[in-house]
Amino acid sequence: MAEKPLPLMAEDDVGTSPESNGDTWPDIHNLIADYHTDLYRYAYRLTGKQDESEDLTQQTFMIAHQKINQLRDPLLARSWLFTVLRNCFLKIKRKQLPRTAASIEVDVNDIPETRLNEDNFDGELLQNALDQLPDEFRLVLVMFFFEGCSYKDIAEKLELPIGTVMSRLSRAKSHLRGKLTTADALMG
Amino acid sequence: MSTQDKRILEAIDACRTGSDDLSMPELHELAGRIEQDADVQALFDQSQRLDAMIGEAFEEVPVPNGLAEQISASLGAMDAAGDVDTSGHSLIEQSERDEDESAVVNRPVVQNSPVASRAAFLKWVAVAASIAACFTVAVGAVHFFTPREMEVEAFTKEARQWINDLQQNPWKLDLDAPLPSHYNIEPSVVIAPRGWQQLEVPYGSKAVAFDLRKNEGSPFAALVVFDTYDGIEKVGSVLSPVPLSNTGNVCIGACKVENTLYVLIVEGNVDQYRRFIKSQLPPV
Repeated sequence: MAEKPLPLMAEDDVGTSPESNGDTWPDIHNLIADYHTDLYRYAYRLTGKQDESEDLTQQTFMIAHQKINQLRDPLLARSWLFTVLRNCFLKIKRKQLPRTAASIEVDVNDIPETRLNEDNFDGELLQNALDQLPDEFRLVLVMFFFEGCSYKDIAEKLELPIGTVMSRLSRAKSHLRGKLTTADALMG
Repeated sequence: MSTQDKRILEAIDACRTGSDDLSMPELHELAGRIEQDADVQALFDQSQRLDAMIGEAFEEVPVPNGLAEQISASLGAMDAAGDVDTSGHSLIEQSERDEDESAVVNRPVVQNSPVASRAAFLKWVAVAASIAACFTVAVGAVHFFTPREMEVEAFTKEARQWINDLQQNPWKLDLDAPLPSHYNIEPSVVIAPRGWQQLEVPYGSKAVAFDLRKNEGSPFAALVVFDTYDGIEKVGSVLSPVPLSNTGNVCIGACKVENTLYVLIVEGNVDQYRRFIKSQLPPV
């Protein structure tokens, strides 16, 4: 009998059961080998801190180890692990002091004329800009850029209205562009 | 900026690079504007270029060395401890019970973070992980059949060949035959051997293999013990619940007590491998 799908996953993330498609059951050690770098990077973009990212990554695999029988399609393992990590992150953040969107300077919605210089554009600069964003803005950005989620996917996974996601995405991207373009101009 | 302009900019920002997002219902208006207005088309193209660069930068995060080994060791320790979540609910289930996530960052602090509440466990897991990581690295640094350092991969590959060697020769069932005392397998495994045989190994080393199968028809399981490796210094003193290798349905682990090297070879998955070894629970 097939296992019940993981409730946190969207229906299209669940796929078919290994029993029905003949795939072998994923092994947690293979999942670690295949995805620990992706998960760590995802966690780092969310938290901006190495120790928290290591904890989150480790916690994700612990949960995955317990719940691996709920992963019904090995091809969706990456998405499933991201979901687990994201929920761990959200759970932690629920317990912490909030930062509101008003507490940061979010630029108006415009796309800068200046082009970013790729040579001066690196992950650290990006992280500094991300760290200035409130969690809810940073999360949609990370889901958009790192997971490759559409605004619709993000809305479904976070249970938010589509309009809210589009607004947050736009404001967050505007903030990034503002910070990165400014830095680029200074460096150039 | 008009409301319409804002809506168009939000729609542009919602489009993923190289996707067909413009076909989505909420973006139909944008698709139409792009066709009709060259300025909007230029803005859209520019946004896509910037997004491509930002997306690439998202991946630029250096990953700490040994992270995978640390995680594997933590899982091994968790298994040995018989699952740490004593509440009966996983974090996933707890997350499911939480309220609407749209209000995530607007809630007041009401209690400690789950990470903090798991800190004690994670601390000793980290210790176990460090030990396991050192163990893994140490095995890679072991001098085996040659004076050169032998990689774990090469070692486990060699160990796999012993399976064939051992299967081609009969096991001696008389365990009372005289064996050097340091062939004592007590520190390593919990399964009593049902037989043994001498294993032919190169470079003048001596090795004895113990048959750990339950019966003749059981999957292969053996402990190979070497006694002449004086150069081996940095090997764990107990078999780790995380094998050095677990590919091809064969798990291989190793440890060393004084000068005696123990190599456990088990046909099957990690869980089957762990049935043969003693659990090493760190003090809580």
